[in-house]
Order: sequence, then structure tokens, then C-alpha cells
Amino acid sequence: MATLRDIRTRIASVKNTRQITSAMKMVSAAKLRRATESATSARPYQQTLTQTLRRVAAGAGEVEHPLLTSRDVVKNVLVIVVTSDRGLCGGFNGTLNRRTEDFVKKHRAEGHVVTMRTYGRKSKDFFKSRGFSTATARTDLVRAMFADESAALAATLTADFEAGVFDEAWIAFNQFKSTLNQIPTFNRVLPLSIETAGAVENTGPSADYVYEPSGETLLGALLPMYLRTLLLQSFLETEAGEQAARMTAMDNATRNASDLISALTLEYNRGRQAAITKELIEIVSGAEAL
Amino acid sequence: MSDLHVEIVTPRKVAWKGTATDVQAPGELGEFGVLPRHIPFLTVLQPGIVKVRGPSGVLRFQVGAGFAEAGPDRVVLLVDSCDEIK
Repeated sequence: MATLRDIRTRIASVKNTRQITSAMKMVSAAKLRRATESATSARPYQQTLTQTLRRVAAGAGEVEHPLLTSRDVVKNVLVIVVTSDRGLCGGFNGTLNRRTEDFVKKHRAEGHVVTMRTYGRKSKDFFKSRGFSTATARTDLVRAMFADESAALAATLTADFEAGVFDEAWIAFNQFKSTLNQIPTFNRVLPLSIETAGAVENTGPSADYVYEPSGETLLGALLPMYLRTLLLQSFLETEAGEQAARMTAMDNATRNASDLISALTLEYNRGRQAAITKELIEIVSGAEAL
Repeated sequence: MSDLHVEIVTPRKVAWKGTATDVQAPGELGEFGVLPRHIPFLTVLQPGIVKVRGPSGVLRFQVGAGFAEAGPDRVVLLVDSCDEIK
């Protein structure tokens, strides 16, 4: 049976925890706003680029471009995982890591050789303990570096893909649907696929476009840009998702701490009352004995 | 004559948005200008200076590489970076 002092100490300690979790929640809420803002303001660029690319691809007909062509035999597969550096954000990183592991296993079962490239400390540690090389792992990436990093990564990927280092590249990241919902997503980034379906009706006079230089050269210039935007987008969504997940997790933790405190307080008060009653009985029975 | 609706978009944000009567930009095959009712046109841009003649005078922007899409009544420039030259 816990003594009153024990309960008092526990209440104090849970209160401390609650203070920390509620502070973390507040910090995440502020960071989330910034992160969603930058994810949202990056969207016009991506949308316009995607639209234009579809139009060009649709207009140019069946185009052959190295970055668009699927290899007949897929042997080497590159998987890029994007997680956060820090934990305490619920299942945000864990879920993605486990799904990615399944994804890797699936590819291995098909006889593919899988190499990994991780972003964020959480995926680095996870895949390091599973025997993957973390030579190319990147951690401590902040928003100001996203643009440069995605450009550098796109360049490396393009070069490696063309050199035949890998035949397919996938990116795994948490898609930021809403504050409460982040979806682990796997997208194939190389070879690129452009859905030309639906492009025709929203373009109108697409056939009348004048391309300078030719459509094919233009496509060659647009595709690397598109790849870069895809990567940038996954960085931005991961950042926003991390803060959202942390906010939700910390909100839950704060609520649990409050519940625990009220339960403990109840127990404490009951114990105190029992002690008082006991003392009274002792006094009364002592007086009676006289 | 109607105006052109101009947008300069970077990966970070929409850098500038407004109406103009004339836009000049550095294409890969040389500088080009767009006036209202231009034929739909798509080209690659080189880093350089974009001039936009708007209602409040000529604005100049230093832009990075990208591409431009010009239609009869609109011009969209997608560029890596964009800074207004004051």
C-alpha cells in the first residue's frame, strides 16, 4: 500500500510530465503552422509544373525519354525513406519504417537487390540496426536546406539511374493529409510516370502550343524539375506531418496525465481521510478508557 | 486591348502576381516579349532579368532558371528563384 507521501510525490512527478507534454504540444502547434504554410505555398509551383508537363507529354505523343522509360529487367531498386530526426510523435516514424521494411522484403522476395537512402535520424537508426548501409544517410535537415537538398538528390538520382546503378527508385514518406491523418506513401520517382489521362480536357487548345525549343527538348528540361519538386514535396510534407503527429501525441499525453492526476488525487484524499478517522477513533477510545 | 495576367512562381511561393501590358523574359533561344493575345507558347527560361510593364510602371525581376508558359491573356513563369530589382 502506497503511503500518502508516495502518492504526493507521484502527483508532483506526473504534474511535471504534464507540463512538459503540454509545452511540447504548444511548440509543435506553432511549428506546424509554419510548416503547413511553406508546404501550401510550394503547391502552386508543383501544380503548374505538373499541368504543363502533362500537356507537353500529351501533345508530344509517345515520347521516349530515358527518365520515363521503364527497364525491362529490374534488378537494383533504390528506396528512399524520409522520416523525422526526433521522436515523441506517436507512430509517425515507426509506422513508416515498418511499412518500408515490408516493402523492402517484398522486393527482395522478387529477387531485387535493394539499397536504402535514409533521411532523418529515425529511419537511419531503424535501418542501421537491420543491417543496411547508412553511408548516404542524411540527418539534421532543416527547411532552409530543403530546396538545395532536393536539387542535389535529384541530380544524384538522375546520374545514378542513367549510369544503371539502380533500375527503379521509390520514395517512402508520410503524406500530410490533415493534422490527424498522415498516410505512409510509396511513390516511384524513377522512372517517372506522368498521367496523361485527364490532361486533354482541361487544356483546351493544347495542340496549338508553340514549343521553343521542340517538345522533346522541353520535356527533357521539365522532367528534372519535376523530379526535384516531387522530392521537395516529400520533405515538406514530412516536416508538416511530424509536427502534426507530435501535436496529437502530446495532446493525448497531456490528457492522460490529467486523468492520472485526478485519479491519484482521489486516492490521496481518501487515504488522508482514512488517517484522520483513524486518529479520531484512537483519541475517542483513549478518552473512553480513562 | 485586354491586359495580361502575370504570375511568377517559385518553389517557395508565388513571388509576384498581377496584370501587365507587356512582359519580357530571357528564353533559352534568346529574349522574347509577350503582348496580350500572344499565341500559346511554352519555352525554357535562362537565368536573367524579367521585365513586366504594369499599371505602376516597369518592374524588373532577377530570376533563376525555369520555364514560361504564355497564353492569349496570361503569362506564368516557373523559376527557381525570383527577386525584384528595386
